[in-house]
Amino acid sequence: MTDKANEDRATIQQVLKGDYEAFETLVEKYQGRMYRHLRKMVKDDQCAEDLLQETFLNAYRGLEGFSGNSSFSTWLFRIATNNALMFLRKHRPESVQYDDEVRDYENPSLMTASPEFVSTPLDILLSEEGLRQIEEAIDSLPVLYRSVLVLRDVEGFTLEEVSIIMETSIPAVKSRLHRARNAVREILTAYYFDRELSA
Amino acid sequence: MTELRSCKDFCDCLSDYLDGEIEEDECRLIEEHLDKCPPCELIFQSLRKTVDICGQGVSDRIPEDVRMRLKSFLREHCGKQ
Repeated sequence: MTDKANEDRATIQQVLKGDYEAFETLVEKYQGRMYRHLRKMVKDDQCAEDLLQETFLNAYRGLEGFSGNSSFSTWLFRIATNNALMFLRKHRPESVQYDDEVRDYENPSLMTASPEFVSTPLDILLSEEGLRQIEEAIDSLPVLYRSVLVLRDVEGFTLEEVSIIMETSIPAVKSRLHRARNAVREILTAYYFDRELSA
Repeated sequence: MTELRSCKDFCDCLSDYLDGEIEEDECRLIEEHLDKCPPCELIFQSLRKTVDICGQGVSDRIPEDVRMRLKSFLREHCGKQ
């Protein structure tokens, strides 16, 4: 177990003994990542904030049920992801219709690449405009693909942890990740190709 | 894994390859293919770049007002003042 996971486990024991400030240290530690994940899932700041509050409240109330089979962060992200998916199914059911997503992503366009994106320096890729392009490319993905990409490539969870958080199989995670990464890659490739042309 | 024959077969493996999910023998096949196929090599480089910048490209900054409302909400609902 990692030092971070051990540290969380010790903090959880403090919370379970009635130390509320210990819970606030967990909130402080994870609120930024959690808010980012929820914003990416629901693409609405107010809904993300409501879900953030709900998620931490669920976590506090359910902390005794945390078995420790996974890390606390995996457990917490699973709660957040479930809350966000429930919200989307209730309020935007069209956004989580898996069949539609598969149909749209079943036959991705032939893979394309151009050297412009690869040769663009990092300071341009991560400039204000570059960051906006990354965000928009991720936001353009269907939610189940977007979530897998964010959990793996932004949050840094392992494939196994993503499968636990998303409650799906590892092969399904790999498949969605492959498609999501290539969709983002193609959008960024097209953007930097056009940018070079118009320069 | 199915037998790797076409460029598409190779490109379909690149995401797993980046994640270290490919067997050693198959890694070697992929690397040999990338060495001799510039279009696939370009796709691989752009995929790797995509993964790298996605990891750095989305901020985890939480606005102060959101942070304060979360703190108040939790204190109220968890029974702590």
